[in-house]
Amino acid sequence: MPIKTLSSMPENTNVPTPDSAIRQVGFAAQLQRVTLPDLVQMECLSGSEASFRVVSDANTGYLMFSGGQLVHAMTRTLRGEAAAQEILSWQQGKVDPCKFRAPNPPTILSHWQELLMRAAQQSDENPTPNVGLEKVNVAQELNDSEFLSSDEPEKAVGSGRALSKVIRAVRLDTQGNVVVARGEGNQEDFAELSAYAVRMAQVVGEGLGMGGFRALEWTLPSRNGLLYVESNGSVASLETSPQAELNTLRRRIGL
Amino acid sequence: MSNALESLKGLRDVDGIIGSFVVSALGLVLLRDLPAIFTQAALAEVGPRIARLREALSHEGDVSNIVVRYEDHKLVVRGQPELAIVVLAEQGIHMPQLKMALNLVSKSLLKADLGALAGVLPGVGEVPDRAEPTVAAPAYYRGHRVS
Repeated sequence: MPIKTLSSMPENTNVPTPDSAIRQVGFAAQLQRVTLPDLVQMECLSGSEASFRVVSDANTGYLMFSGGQLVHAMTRTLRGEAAAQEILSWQQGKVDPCKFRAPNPPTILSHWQELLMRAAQQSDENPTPNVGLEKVNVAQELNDSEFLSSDEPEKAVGSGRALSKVIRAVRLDTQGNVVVARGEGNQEDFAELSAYAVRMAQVVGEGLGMGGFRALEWTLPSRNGLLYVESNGSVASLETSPQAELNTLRRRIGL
Repeated sequence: MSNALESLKGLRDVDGIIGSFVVSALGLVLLRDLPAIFTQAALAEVGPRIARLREALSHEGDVSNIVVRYEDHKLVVRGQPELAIVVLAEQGIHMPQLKMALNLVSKSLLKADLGALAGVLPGVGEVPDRAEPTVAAPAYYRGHRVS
């Protein structure tokens, strides 16, 4: 079923409610430098039943709250969680209360905190384009290639998109089997190198009482390397060109 | 030799450094500035493993830097082909400060007489550790001997 666009959606579809009925007490306020995650947090924590119209450049969207949750969102082309994520990615604009009432049943079922976390993660992975920033976001590149996010890694071997700044990347399971491999060269050699490096780092750490091993980074004349142990014991290892941006990946894996 | 040790001690100006030592390409510990809890026996085991780690990672030229992150600590290895400075640090160490300090110490050590250092092994300027080294059966991991 096609999604109705806002321009074609009559206002009374959502049963308009007078502002006075929504907020009988309290102040009308104009705030500056408030982000949309701030707004969501304030409305949800206060158990708000309000709806808001969000305008950012040429985009318009609606956020609707009920019972301490963000229960509905829509843009010109999206509704539900997809619309919420889209709206939460907007960086600037204007927010006004509006008369839409949230539909029943809600189109958003996730807890508002989960929505904000997802939006923050998405923001990390898709930062606002910066003309002066030449470094490539490795986390995004790996994500696109299914290296980081594949649920069925064995199916992803050899099928990912080309990586521009990641020279090669492998993931090993706890038995040392290569479950994902990307990039140039002999990936089996790289897998062996990675497994051996992990073991050396572990025994060095044990010898010096440094605690459990988490990650290893190295610098070569023409490339950088990073490997880390995931929560399930798998080892992810990659080598990148020196121009690659690794900070997002480091944050994502908690380094 | 004492100048080299003084240079190494200079690393402690950076907050969060537990200690440091210098290993040769073969993993011999040439110099140390570490609390006594780190015994010579422990360093004698760790040194060759660090050398093997450096060698394994040097597949496309010499590895110049290694940072190993553990749960509570970091191990930073700044290497030249013939030797490496190994720093034990707390997890929250200020990495730019440490890198700058390592640059300075590296230059200093390059001027030192490494041959002389190697001639007085083990443990330059240190009281030899009298603890008997532990003997363990060799372990292998994916075909590589690891102990």
